[in-house]
Amino acid sequence: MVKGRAGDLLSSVELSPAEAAYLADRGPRAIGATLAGLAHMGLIEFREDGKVVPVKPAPARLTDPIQRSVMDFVSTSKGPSSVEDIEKGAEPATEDLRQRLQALGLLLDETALWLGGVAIAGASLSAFVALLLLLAANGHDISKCVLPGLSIAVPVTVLLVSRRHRTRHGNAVLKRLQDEHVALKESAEHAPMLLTPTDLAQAVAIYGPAVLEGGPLDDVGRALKPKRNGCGACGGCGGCGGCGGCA
Amino acid sequence: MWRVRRMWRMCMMVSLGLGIGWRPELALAIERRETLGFIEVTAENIQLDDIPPALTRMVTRGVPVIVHGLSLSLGGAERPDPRRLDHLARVAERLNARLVSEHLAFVRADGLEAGHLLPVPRTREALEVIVDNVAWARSLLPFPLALENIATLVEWPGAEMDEASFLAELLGRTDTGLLFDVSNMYANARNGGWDPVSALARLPLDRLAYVHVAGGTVRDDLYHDTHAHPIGAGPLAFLEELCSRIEPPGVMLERDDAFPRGDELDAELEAIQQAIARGAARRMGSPTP
Repeated sequence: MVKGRAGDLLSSVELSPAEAAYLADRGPRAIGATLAGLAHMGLIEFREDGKVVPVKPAPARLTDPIQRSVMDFVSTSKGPSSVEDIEKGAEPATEDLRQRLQALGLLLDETALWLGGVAIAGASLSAFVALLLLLAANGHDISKCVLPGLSIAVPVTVLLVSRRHRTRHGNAVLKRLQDEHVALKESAEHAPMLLTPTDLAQAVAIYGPAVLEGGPLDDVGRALKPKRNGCGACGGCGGCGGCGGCA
Repeated sequence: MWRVRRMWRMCMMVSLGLGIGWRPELALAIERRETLGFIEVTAENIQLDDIPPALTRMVTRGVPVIVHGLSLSLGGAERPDPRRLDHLARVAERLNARLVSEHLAFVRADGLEAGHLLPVPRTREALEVIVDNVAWARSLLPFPLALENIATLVEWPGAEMDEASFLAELLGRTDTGLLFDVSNMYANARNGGWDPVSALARLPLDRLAYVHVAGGTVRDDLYHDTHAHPIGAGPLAFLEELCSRIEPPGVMLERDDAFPRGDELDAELEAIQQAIARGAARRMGSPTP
């Protein structure tokens, strides 16, 4: 579905919902967008507890590898599948997306990710050491600062490193997609049932499952909401106002 | 005043074409219709500090905007609230509107909100009050104003004029245009047992700013202008009658509930377009398309 190449990335790259989703938030978003589209097609259903059950067998026209992988997973599961299990089970099918987006120069490659991570960690460590030296030079007892300082600096560094996956072009393309599809967002928020499955998947891809929350597909939006960094018990970091209170 | 009159004349001269009431639910379907002539935006649904980006995008694209009010209560015994007039004007300014419109109705009295558009008594006494309200509203609105006829299931006793004559008299005494809702007049005529086509002859069609058309349904032998059903044959035939007499500057679909999918919406707009074309063919004496 990628129609453009790196010549004029901002204006020419067109991405499928799965590609846009991967660009926005990697494999789990791509699978989430796929799940939203499949639910809209009536092939799967989200239960009240957020788990997914198959409703109909996958039709032959369903050729998208991620759609097929998700359908295979939910169809062969012994019971209802959690979104997390589906993400794990179907994640290998998203590998092609990563490679295509990297080839377009929208995602960082492994070397860039590693170098960037080292740079961020190095900068973070240098800033921390510099701060300690400054405090020591001013006669402060730095032994009491090391532990609290590390407890803040390490998670922040890990978060910065782990969240970084797009190139500058990738960020620009995602921003362009978000700016261009504001009407899709508006309709997805207010009347998602009127959208085609592809449009619905595109809305979730670009704006995240939160675009469905509070509307007629609120249950889908909530089930797809990412559960990150130990916040699973409260339904994710976004919904409870941050990890501090619920971790 | 001369500037306003000139703006009004200029406004009338510009053909708007086929339009639709902008609703968030229809934002995507509206954006994808590249041939759309104009959109109408309800002022009360817009917060000035939070204008939907999808709407701003339409404005940026150059799609003409008309801002429509629901709550001025021009037909009330009290003068319209200046804050509501100010909001209407500010929304129109922000959306680069060419025209604002309101209903010939009242929605509040003595501090009580009806939550519904209520009909005005069609008496000379009421007319004087409304003329004064409209003149006052016009003095505070830096945009041309069009007045819309409403649908109603109740009538005040002691009417001194019929609906079309009352509208004609009001427009004749105020610097306003006519937002003619063909579905509203069709509904009133059907429920009241009078002929809407003959009423067209009494309407000041030379003041026509644009036209509303919407769907409705019959319940208990009463026609309800629901804006939630496809447009029926009756309103479309009445639109054709109108278009056989005059070329409306713009005609738009109002849909406020049970929103249709994109293809159904296209079919609704196509049906309107065909009614306009049939009317135009009759007006020009050519065979009906």
